[in-house]
Amino acid sequence: MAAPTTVAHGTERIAQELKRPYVLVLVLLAIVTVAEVQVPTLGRNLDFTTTLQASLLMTSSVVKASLVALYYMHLRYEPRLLSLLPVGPLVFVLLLVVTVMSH
Amino acid sequence: MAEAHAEAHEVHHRSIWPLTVALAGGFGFGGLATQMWPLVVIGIVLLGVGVGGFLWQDARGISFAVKQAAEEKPFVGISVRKLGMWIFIVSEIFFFTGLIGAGLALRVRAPFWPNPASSDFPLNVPLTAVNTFILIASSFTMAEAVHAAHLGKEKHMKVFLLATLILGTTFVSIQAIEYFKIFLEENLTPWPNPIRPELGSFGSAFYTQTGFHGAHVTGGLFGLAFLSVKALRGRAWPSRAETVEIVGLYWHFVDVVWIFLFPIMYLIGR
Repeated sequence: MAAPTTVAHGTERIAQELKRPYVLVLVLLAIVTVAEVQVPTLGRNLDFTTTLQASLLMTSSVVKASLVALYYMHLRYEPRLLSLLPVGPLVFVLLLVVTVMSH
Repeated sequence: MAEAHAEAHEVHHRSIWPLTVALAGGFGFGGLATQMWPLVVIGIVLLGVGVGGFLWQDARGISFAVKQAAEEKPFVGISVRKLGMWIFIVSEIFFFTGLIGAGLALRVRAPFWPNPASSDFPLNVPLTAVNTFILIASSFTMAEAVHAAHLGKEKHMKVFLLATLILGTTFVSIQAIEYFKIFLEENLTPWPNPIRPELGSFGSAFYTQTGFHGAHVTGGLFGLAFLSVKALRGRAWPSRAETVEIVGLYWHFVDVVWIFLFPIMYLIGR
C-alpha cells in the first residue's frame, strides 16, 4: 500500500516545491501573442512568403503551448513517462501535415 | 502485491453516469454524422439523464470515487484519476489534429482563401487577440486556483476559480458576439452563400474548428461552475485539490488548442 503515500508526496511536492513562475509565464504568453498579431502586417510590408509567416507563427505557438503544458499543467514536475504521453500524438500530427501538404 | 490487486479490484467504482454520458456522445454524434435526427434526440436525452444523475448523486453525497489511489508500473505514483484525464487529453489531441488537418486539406485545395493582411478579411483580428489573452489569463487564474487548493488556501481557491469562470464566460461570449457579426455583417457562413461565394471553404473550416473549440470551452465552464458552487457552499471532500487539478488540466488543454487555432484561422493566409 505504498501508492497512496506516493500520491500524498506528489501533492505535497506540488504545494511546497513549485517555484510558481505563473506570472512570468503569463507575461511571456502575452508578449508572444502581441508579436504574433504583427506577423501578417509585417509579412506584407517586408514581403515575407506565406510559408515563412506560417513557420514563424507555428514556432511561436509551439513555444506558447510548451509554456502552458510545462508550467500550468505541471508537466515539468511530473514523471517523465506522463510528460511523454501527450507528445505521442504529435508524431501523427507531423505525419498528417506532411501527407496533406504533399498531395 | 496480490492483496493490493484484490483490494483495487474490489473498490473499483461502478457509477453508471459516465457510461450514460459516453452513450449520449455516441448516439448524439453518430446521429449528427448520419443526419438521423432521432438518434440526436436520444443522445440529448441521455446527456441530460447522465449529467442529471451525476448531480443528483453528488447532491446526496453518494460517492463512487476510485479508491485505488495510484497507478503501479509504468505510471508509478500518478493518481488513477489524473492519468485518466491525461489519456482523455491525448484522445482530444487526436480529435483536434483530425479537425485541423481537414481544415489544412481544405485550405490547400480551396479556390480562394482570405488574407489576414487584406482590408476585406472577414474576421476581427484585434478583438480576437484580446479574447486570446483573456483565455490565456484564465489559464493563469486556473493554475493559481490549483496551487491554492493544494496549499489548502480556501479563500484564494474560491477567488481564482471564480475568476477563471468569469474569464472563460467572457471568452465564449465574445466569440458568440463575433459569430453574429461575421455571419450577419461579413456574410461569412459555414456554407457557400450567393453574396460572398468565395468564402465558402474558409467559412466551413472556420466555424467547424472554432465551433468545436467553443463547445469544449463551454463544457469546461460547466465543470468550473460545478466546482465553484461546491467551493462557495463550503463543501470540501477528501480529494478536492486533485479534482480542481484535473478540471484545471482540461481547462489548460482547451487553452493550448486555442493557441494553435488563433494563428491558423486568424493570422495565416495562403
